[in-house]
Amino acid sequence: MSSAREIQPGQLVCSKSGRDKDRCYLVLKVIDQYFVHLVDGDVRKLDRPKRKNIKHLQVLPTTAGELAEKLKAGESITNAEVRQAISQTIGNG
Amino acid sequence: MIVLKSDRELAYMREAGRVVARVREELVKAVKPGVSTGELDSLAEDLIRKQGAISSFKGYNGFPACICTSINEEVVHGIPGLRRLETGDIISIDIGAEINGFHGDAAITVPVGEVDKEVQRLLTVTEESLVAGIEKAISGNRLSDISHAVQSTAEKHGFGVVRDYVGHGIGRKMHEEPQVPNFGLPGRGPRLREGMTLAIEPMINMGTHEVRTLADNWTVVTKDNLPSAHFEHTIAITDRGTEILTA
Repeated sequence: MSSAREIQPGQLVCSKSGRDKDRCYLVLKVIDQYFVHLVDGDVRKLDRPKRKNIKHLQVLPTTAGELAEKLKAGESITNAEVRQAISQTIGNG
Repeated sequence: MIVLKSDRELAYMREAGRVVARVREELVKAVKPGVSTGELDSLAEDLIRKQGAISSFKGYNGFPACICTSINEEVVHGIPGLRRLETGDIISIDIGAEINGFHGDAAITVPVGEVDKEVQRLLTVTEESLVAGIEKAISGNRLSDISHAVQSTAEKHGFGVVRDYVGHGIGRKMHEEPQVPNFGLPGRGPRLREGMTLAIEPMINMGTHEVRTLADNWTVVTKDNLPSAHFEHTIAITDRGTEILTA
């Protein structure tokens, strides 16, 4: 199974370290080559995304397809959509 | 961090590779018009279990099946289901198995019955590009020598090399470092050393290299809906040269 090459908005990721270890997020924005903004629609909503070092993330081989297209097109997404995308693919324990 | 494998660990990986190779052989025989991808998945599950191994894919970040089945314009990560194969289709089957804590990973694209000449050429070239990549996987080379060999083989024939998904290191985990892209300039990246185990997997599209993900969040398809092929082997770099573990 191939792995996803680089982090893009809409990518699903898992935290590898920190107090949120093992929590799954959707990448909202790639800030620079080191940091991204993450949301899970629950603890981290769209108005208060989490800034996280890419080094501390595991990039999952799955992307929230529809949300990725919306983010690319500059359309807005909702917290419910983010929660749904995460629970549909991986779930948050 | 790139994990180098000891001789004993390589022995385990050989075993995992053999399991995957056997399953792939049986699945290729089972590909016929009228067979559903779900049936192929249950066949794979049986074959993996009978050999005392478990599927590396099932449950991996929520993936629901033992194998990935990607038909025609589907590039990778297609989920097996009710869809039945038709004559003229091509199906990429990606298999991963874990035994004794080590993983093996391989993929092959098979034509269903008679296929279009151009599609057949896509399959041949994709397999050739995998071989070209493996030939560069020798101790002392750089990682991107593999990438460059794959890319130049595929692009010479006018096909597109998928950028967004890449090969990977493999061992105790299915996805380890380093990533093995199928494109790039030669002579870059980490130097290849004995004990490295890599999954080299060119994904080659007939048209554009661009891809998108469907609403199931897994299935990756080509943007222009032209067919795509995928071949993969797990290899080990040893003191006796390159060894294909899933052959």
